Amino acid sequence: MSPARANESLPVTAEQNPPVSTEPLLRVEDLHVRFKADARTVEAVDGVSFDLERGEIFGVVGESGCGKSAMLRSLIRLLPSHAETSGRVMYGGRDVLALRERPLRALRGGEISMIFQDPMTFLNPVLRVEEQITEALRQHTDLNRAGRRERTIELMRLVGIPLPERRLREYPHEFSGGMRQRVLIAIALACSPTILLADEPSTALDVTIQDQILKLLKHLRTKLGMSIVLVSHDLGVIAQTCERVAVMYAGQIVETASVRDVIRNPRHPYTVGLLGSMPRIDTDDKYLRPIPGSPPSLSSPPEGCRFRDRCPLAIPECATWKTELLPVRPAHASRCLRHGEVGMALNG
Amino acid sequence: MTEIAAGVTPHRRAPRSWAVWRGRIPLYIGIGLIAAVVVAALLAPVIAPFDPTAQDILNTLASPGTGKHLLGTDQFGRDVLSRLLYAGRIDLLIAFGATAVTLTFGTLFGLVSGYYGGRIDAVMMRFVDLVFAFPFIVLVLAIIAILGPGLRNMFIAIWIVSWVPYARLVRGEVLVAKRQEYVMAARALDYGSPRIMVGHILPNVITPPLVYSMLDAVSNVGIGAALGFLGLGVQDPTAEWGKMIADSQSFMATNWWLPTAPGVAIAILGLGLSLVGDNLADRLRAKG
Amino acid sequence: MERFGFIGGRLLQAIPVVLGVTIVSFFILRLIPGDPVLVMLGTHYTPQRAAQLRANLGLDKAVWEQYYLFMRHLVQGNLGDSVYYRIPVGHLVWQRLPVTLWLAAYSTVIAIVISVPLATLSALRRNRVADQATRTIFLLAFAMPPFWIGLVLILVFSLHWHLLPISGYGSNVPDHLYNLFLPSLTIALGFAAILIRTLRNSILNVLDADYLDTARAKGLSQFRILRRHVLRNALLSGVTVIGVNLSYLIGSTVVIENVFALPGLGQLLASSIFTRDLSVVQGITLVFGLGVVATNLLTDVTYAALDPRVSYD
Repeated sequence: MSPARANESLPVTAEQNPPVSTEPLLRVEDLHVRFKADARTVEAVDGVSFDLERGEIFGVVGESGCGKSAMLRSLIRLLPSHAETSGRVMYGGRDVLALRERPLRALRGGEISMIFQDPMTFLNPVLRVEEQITEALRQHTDLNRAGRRERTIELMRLVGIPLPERRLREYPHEFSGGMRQRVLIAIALACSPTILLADEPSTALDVTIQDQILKLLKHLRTKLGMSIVLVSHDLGVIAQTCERVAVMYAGQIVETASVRDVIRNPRHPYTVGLLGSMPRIDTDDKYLRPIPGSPPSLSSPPEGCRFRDRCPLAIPECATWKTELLPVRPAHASRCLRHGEVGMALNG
Repeated sequence: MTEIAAGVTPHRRAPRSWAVWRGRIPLYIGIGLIAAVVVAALLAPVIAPFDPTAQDILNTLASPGTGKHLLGTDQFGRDVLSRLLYAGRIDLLIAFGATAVTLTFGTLFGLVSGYYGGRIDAVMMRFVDLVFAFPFIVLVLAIIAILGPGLRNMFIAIWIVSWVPYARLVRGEVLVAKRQEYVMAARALDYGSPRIMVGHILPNVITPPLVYSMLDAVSNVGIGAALGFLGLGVQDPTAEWGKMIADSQSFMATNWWLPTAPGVAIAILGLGLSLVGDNLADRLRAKG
Repeated sequence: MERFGFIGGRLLQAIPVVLGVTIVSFFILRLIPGDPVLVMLGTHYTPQRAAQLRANLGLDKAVWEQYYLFMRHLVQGNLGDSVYYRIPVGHLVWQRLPVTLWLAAYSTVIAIVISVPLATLSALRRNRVADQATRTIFLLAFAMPPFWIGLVLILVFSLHWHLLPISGYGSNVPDHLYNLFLPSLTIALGFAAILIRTLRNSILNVLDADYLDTARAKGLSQFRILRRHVLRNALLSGVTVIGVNLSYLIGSTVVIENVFALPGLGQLLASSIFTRDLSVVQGITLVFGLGVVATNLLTDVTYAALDPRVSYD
């Protein structure tokens, strides 16, 4: 490993230098995640499919309980033992869901990393920050101790932690919230992964820090050529950071498009509802507009479209059709029968 | 939560009552064990075949089943079963009598200390720390040393020492409780302090000490039995399980049932109390 | 450097407790109903002995003067004299202290050896057979008084199977380990009953922790995670649990020494109560009190050394 030079890019993986290929980096096919508790089964993720292209930031947005976190975790099989997954997650020609333990562990952290929501509880309080970062290095590289140390300092500098040489030996509780999240990011980036999975990385932070972290993620994507899957319930976060987005509801993707298209030209009533329920400073609205009703139970999901009980466009046919993502335009799909009639007009 | 539109079949689940009942089995077993001991002890005068203090030198160390001695006799020819039953009264008295007093006093102490805070609290807690600075049994023994052996002094000793954990426990709970809104509301209504303490705070902090009291009862029986074993508790000719074990220690090799019977009795009572204590917590918590 | 401040702080806090311990011990002799000298001397009563004892204790002086005398003797190492044995209490204590210390240490080690694996197993196999079985067995162990457990063990291992001795202490280290095994096991079983339950809960809490997900996302193996993340954190709570219950452990030695006829402080305490040799009672009570304060301090310091979040407050 070369000595740390502050602004050099980190050594890249092979994937970043090949001729431009049109193969998606990650392909998720018909992913299902079921949780079993006593006699009940909850279908948290019900048939999710999407592709992740090289170097893109892909967002997944939805309200709490829609299954987005479970979906993200299932990509590297980080679910509790009572969870069952089915479907395929294709990466590098292999199905992650079918990998044996050893290759899976080599993948985790080595090629696909994950960062989490609350940096306080996701860092071990009794281990120094240095140890938590070098742990990842020890697992996936054969750097010696000096090499690991250098790399750690490099990483900390990369994510914007000032005076890394001094702060190496500190403990998580000695860092502020934003700095802790940067530590988590540093851990995730330690072995130059090609994909970073981010589960609500800014939710637990102050708004100003949120902004910093999101900007950092974008910067890292550009600098390292990494792809990111960003999960959030906050459409504003997604809009600020992602290029493409999938909108999830009740375990299914209901719309997927570029961020521009989703905001300017939503084609699913739920998306419209989401957009309409965002607090805005540029209108005169005095009240927030939530979507009436609440999401269906995932242990016994309704037939047909799951949004129909709350949907202003619902028709009898919505109760019986076997829903699928219908193409609306190139790179824009919607799980609504009447997607052609959905427009901002709905939002009034 | 709005209901889902028609067309959805609800999931079938096991009937609730069975699962709940099954989870309560340990609690019921515990209650049953305690009840059995209590009943046996209460009925001692009725069901004991012999006078527990009656000696029969012709019939010493009889094996169980000899004559009418279902559990045999001890080295003085006294019927083991009868002594066992009568001893139960003493040990139950310790379990409940000693514990009830310490529970009450300790809780009140903790209540006052936690509620008033400030210097009263500081002084009271110093006192608590002091008692905690010694192993309990050492303090109990020291008190027995001062007062002399015997059942009455044993009670006094336990009373003086065992209330302390309750005080600490309750104080902790009270410190949390007094910040709650219902206390502020009561104060706003100008309720007097004693009324707030007993009427409002107490019901909310009573659960942990109650649960602890069950386990404490086990411990007190143990202390009583240990003192009896050391010869510092109940004196001859009264029967007490610990003392029965001690008295039979020399004959343990040849007459193994002599220390075993009272030991099993203690274990049954102890097990019953432990089961109730362990499972009462869940039950009370569920009720909220 | 902060750490030393913490230790210093704790030491300072311990001083009033130590003083309190001495006061309590002091009062043991002064609260005796009737004439303490009469009670203490019992059948050994002679007017000269009585006068000497009265002078030693300063019984005709005011209470605080007596206390001052008591403390002055204490710092000189003078705990009074045993009426029964006719030697200074200090000597008796010194003779017998090693036995009790051995017993306490040995019991703690066995208790930890039993509890840690079982608690871990219970936590990992939560609510399955191993867990339920362990909890039930130790519930039973808790319900039975320690001295009875001791007797049962003697019955089985000494009398029936002739594996281990009934009593006695031995004269060198291997002997000690052999002789003290049964008594230590007895204490350990009772102690383990408490330890296992609390340790299990601590481990369960740690197993629920979010930072384990981070560790898994790094690709670490289950074993590595257990060793490096789970155990380290569970150890912290373990230290606290053990520390809090050490006073109980120390108390257990008293009864068990009597069951196994070990020449330690506990046995001396019991016999001295019989012989009304109250100076000895006072001395031993004092020693036990100081012992508990010392172990509490040790626990606090150990915890502070292990948990980086602790700061001097």
